[in-house]
Amino acid sequence: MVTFADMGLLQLFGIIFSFFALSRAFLRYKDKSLHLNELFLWIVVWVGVICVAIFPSIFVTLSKILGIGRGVDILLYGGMILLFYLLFRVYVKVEAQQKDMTTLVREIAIKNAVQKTANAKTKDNEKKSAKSRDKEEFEEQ
Amino acid sequence: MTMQAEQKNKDIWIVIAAYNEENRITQVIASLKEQGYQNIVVVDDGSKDKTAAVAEQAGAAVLQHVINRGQGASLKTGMDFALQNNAEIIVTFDADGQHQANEIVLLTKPIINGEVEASLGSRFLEKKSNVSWHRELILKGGAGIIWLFYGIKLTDSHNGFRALKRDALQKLELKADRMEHASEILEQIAAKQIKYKEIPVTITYTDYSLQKGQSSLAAFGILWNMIKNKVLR
Repeated sequence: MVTFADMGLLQLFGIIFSFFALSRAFLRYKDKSLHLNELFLWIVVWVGVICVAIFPSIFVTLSKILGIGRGVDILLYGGMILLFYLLFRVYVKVEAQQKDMTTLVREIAIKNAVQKTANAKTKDNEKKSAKSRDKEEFEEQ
Repeated sequence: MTMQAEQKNKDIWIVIAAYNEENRITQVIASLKEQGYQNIVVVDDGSKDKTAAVAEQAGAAVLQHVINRGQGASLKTGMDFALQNNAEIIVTFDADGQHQANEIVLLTKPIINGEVEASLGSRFLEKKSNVSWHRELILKGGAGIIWLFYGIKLTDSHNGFRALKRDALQKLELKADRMEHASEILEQIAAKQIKYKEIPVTITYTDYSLQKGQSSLAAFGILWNMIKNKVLR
């Protein structure tokens, strides 16, 4: 364990910020912007950060268990895996959006074409009825 | 034209995907009308030029994509429109003059007489076209991969000159927006067990169409899409 005296500025800042973040999370939960399981997730994350700040040797032990070089390496590898996963999620979302856009564009295209034909037909009918009206008037005379 | 031929041409719809083709589209539409085709729909894929207006003047039905979505998306829009208008046979035709209007009958004949549900144009069945060696290599390679992935043996893996019967088209799930649509339709034809046949057609390469068209390297992008779909579908 590290006492307050030994703690570096980074770890101190990390703990303070984590408490701040936790308070924000609770407030969001209170005003209903966060669901219970989301709140739980954030508690786990920030409590985790606090633990690591107080016991940085966690990573050293973990690295020994996993057989990876240094404690920091775990963060790097874990971070990269997380990044790849998040990137994959973004990629899937973008692809879905592209498809949605095409669906919209297609609907607009067909709707406009149908509308145009309908307008042309109405104009045509108006012309025809105008012509027959003129014809009737002429014949009456 | 005979009454029978006229009737047939009434149910045949030509679907053209066009992007910035104001210079060529009039000739293409004219050549189709000359052959007697009455139902021509041009899908303007967000062109920056006057393609839509020009096509309409030339006598085609025009659908406009507000933004560019790709050839696959455009053809599907056109095909949906044709189906809505009771098309019996749908023919996909290029906007840049690479296809011959007088060869459409070669594609529609086997469908009309019930031999097949889909006619696939091939530029290699009879050596009528002047294909560059690298393009031929890529296309033949593509055909090999198509056979590997989908189990259908073709001589030309990427040919946009195709005809489909209404029922067959309705069975296909076409979602590809860009150039990979040409492979997707083959995958679907195999998956839905549509009866098909390759028909020799002429692809006319001009400086214009080559400059506008795909580089042979685009094939790798299509291959990537094929692999992706095979894994995810």
